[in-house]
Amino acid sequence: MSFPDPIAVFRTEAAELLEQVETGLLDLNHDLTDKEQVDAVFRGLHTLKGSGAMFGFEALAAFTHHCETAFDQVRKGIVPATHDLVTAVLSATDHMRALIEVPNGDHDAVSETLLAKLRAAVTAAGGGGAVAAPAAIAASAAPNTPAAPAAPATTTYKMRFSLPANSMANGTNPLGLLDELRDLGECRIKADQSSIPSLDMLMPTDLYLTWDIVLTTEQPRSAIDDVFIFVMDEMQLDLEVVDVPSAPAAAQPAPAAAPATPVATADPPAAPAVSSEHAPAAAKANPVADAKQAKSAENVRVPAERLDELMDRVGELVIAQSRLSQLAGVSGDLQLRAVSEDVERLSGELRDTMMVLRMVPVTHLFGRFRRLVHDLAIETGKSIELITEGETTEVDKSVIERLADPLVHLVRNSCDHGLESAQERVAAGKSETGRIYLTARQQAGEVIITIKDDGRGINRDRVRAKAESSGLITPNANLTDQELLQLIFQPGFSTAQQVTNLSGRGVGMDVVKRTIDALRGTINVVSHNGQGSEISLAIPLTLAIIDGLLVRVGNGRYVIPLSAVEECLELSVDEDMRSRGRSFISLRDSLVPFIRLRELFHTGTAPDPFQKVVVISTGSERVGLVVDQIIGDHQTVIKGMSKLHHDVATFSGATILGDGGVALILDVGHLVAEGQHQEAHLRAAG
Amino acid sequence: MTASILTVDDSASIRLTTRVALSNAGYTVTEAVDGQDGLSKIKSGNFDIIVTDLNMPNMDGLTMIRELRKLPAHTGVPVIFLTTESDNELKQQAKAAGATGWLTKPFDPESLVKIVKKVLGR
Amino acid sequence: MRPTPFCLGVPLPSNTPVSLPLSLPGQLTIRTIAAIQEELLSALAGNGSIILDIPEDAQADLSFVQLIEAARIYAGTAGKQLSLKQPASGQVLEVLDRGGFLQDMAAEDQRFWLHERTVQ
Repeated sequence: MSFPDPIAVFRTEAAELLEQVETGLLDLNHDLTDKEQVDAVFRGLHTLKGSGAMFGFEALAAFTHHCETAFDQVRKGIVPATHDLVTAVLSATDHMRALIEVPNGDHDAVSETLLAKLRAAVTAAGGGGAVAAPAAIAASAAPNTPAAPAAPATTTYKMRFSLPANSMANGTNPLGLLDELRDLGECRIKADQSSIPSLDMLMPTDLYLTWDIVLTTEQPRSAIDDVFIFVMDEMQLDLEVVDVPSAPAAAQPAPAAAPATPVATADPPAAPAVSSEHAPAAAKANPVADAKQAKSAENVRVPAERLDELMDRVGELVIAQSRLSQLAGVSGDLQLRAVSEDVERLSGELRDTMMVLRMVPVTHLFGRFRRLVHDLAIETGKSIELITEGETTEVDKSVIERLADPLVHLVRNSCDHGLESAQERVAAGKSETGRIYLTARQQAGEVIITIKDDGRGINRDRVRAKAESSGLITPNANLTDQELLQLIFQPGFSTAQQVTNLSGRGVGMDVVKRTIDALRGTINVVSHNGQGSEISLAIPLTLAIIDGLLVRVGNGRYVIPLSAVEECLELSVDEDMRSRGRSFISLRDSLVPFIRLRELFHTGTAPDPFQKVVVISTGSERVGLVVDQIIGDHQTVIKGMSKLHHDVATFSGATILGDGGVALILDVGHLVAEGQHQEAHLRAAG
Repeated sequence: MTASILTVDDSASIRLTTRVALSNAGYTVTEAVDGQDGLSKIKSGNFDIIVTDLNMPNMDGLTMIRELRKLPAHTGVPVIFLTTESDNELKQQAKAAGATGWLTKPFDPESLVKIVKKVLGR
Repeated sequence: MRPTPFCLGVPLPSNTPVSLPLSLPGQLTIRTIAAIQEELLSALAGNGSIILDIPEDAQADLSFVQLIEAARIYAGTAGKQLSLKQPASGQVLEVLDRGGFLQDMAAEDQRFWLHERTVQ
């Protein structure tokens, strides 16, 4: 079989694409509002970049990327098309021809000049500094140097999985997946047909089967994920380690054939290194699963909504119980009190049990990142290894759902900005392959999820400079190291000097912070220059119940999440008078902005003579809330707000009090931001 | 029995690379230049698997996949899409449209063949 | 356990003497499965006993085994008889194997698919 030379075909095609882009640009110059031409130009540049990268025209791909980025912004309406912009891209197309003709020539100077023009045009049109200096897309398809294979140990997994009903109709062949599992080692597969309906009720192209599998394999856990790589997000997979990995020396039934290599896409060869250090840790961290296994793991599958319903009932029970204790407390009836205490203990236990029911392991969440990192490695041209640990750690299911986006962002950030190129790493005396560790562990009432890389670390000088230039801090502000590092989570902050394929388009790290705040979690950043960074997210295990501080403002009662409360102070009449007109109190030599909730809520009542200030914080930021009275600690079952109120930003939910009244729960993150905003405003004015 | 593959891509060079890779692996390859062409070839043919780009003129890949999934006679035909983005949202969209799997560009011929083999099964 | 006596793989229906063979086409895959469902439903509606004749070289996938299992449930609740003319072979047998149906197979299923009697 003979085929034309692909490079020659690419050249012809690139010429056509450039012609198409030019025609589009020229038409666009006549009518700057022509959406169709904008799309055509974008598509042409996009294809040119993609094919260029495929056929080894790296300089072309890197250069074209910037033009594509500019047009992406036009396409999305972020930047209007201007004559200058069109001209800049037009002259860039000529340069693209040169890059195709002489791919290895010295084009840097010309590239830089043209991109400077493009940048100027985008900035003039109102765009941000989205186009950056030409970054050589790391040309080397960094040959993955597999880590020295650890001695193979066998692990036995017990799993049960089902695929979405429409998966067969959408082309997934379940038999193929089962075959792949068999290729991994000793495999016992049993079909569970119990969900198949009667013929007259059957949707014949739907899949109703579930499989129970016991797999003994020398392959790492990731090999199983690779089998399910295309269905991972939609499937149901319960997986338990039955057997602690044992050394091969131990008389193990030798697998008949040589172990098969994973069938799916070439993952970064993290696997062998992981299995050696990670597998035993996982087994250790999971005594529960082993214990469960010991008494024949019996699982009942329950729809998530039913669990939510049950949670609601338990919540109502807790509320009713607290009314009961209140009544029992005021009555002198000792018998009633005894019963009330019993009920209190039982409902507490029931609540704890309920919480455990809602817990699911982070396995599934972590599973997604294998593919993400794989793709990111290709896109950045870096060699990246993902090491996950503690996948059996369990977290409330609603927490897991909300963690996915921030984690994607953090992992992307690490791949994109944290890890250096292979060359830089080698120059710094590091291994060519950058490592990203994704770990989960439970600690007290929190789950700690850590994203760690062994990259270049966060450049503190650049963070400070950037924060100063964007007005986030005053020049030479005195910050602790943690406060400085936390600045990267401020809205509008990004030290990325270039927009790349990965991060950079739109979303900032502030999204991460907002989500973690909403989960009532905290972020901790550790970074060592040249050695890497570590970002830890500490999140309460459950969302449904919080400890709160019950306060009164006017005639209303409100709950402040206790985890955010730093301290409570008296606001003397004196200080109250003095602070009229400004909104700061001095708290041990530092000024803290405060908000008078009475004014914020327009209660129309006179202030209590003994007002209190509750100082709340999210990480490094503090704000004082002036309330009329502090009623006390209150354990609270959170009720969501109705759809009607979901855009009321000041409150994150509501709760029912012991006496049947309703209290709103204050959204701490929002109030702190509000206070800081007020502070910035006043500082600017004064 | 050699499986028959339809590749849909507006880029001639990508079509060529995929054809070379897949023919060398023993598959029969038919090409289409965009979604519209792809859909009409699907309707008149009988393919075991379809490999398609998403970003194409006339009819994009997402639309083609959605239209394909409305054809009862072609129920269950696996569709692999090519994407330059590791854009999760796009991936979700394509999966929701009825795609079976994906491959990130730029790719090497071996990984394409590997994915095709994986999705086709034995 | 249903006390259905078997003889040479052909059931002796207890309530109705009508027993009709139904020849299935050569393609028993997801692309044709909807039509086969129709055919089976109408055949079962009219007869007390259906004997399925599956071509030995038929192409079959998981959707077919699933369909037959659904048909067995339907027949069971409607008081009809469903059986295979020949024990499963070729691709049907392969699907049973690859799909994990043969693992710890119930005696009744063994009789249906493989025409095997097991000592209880």
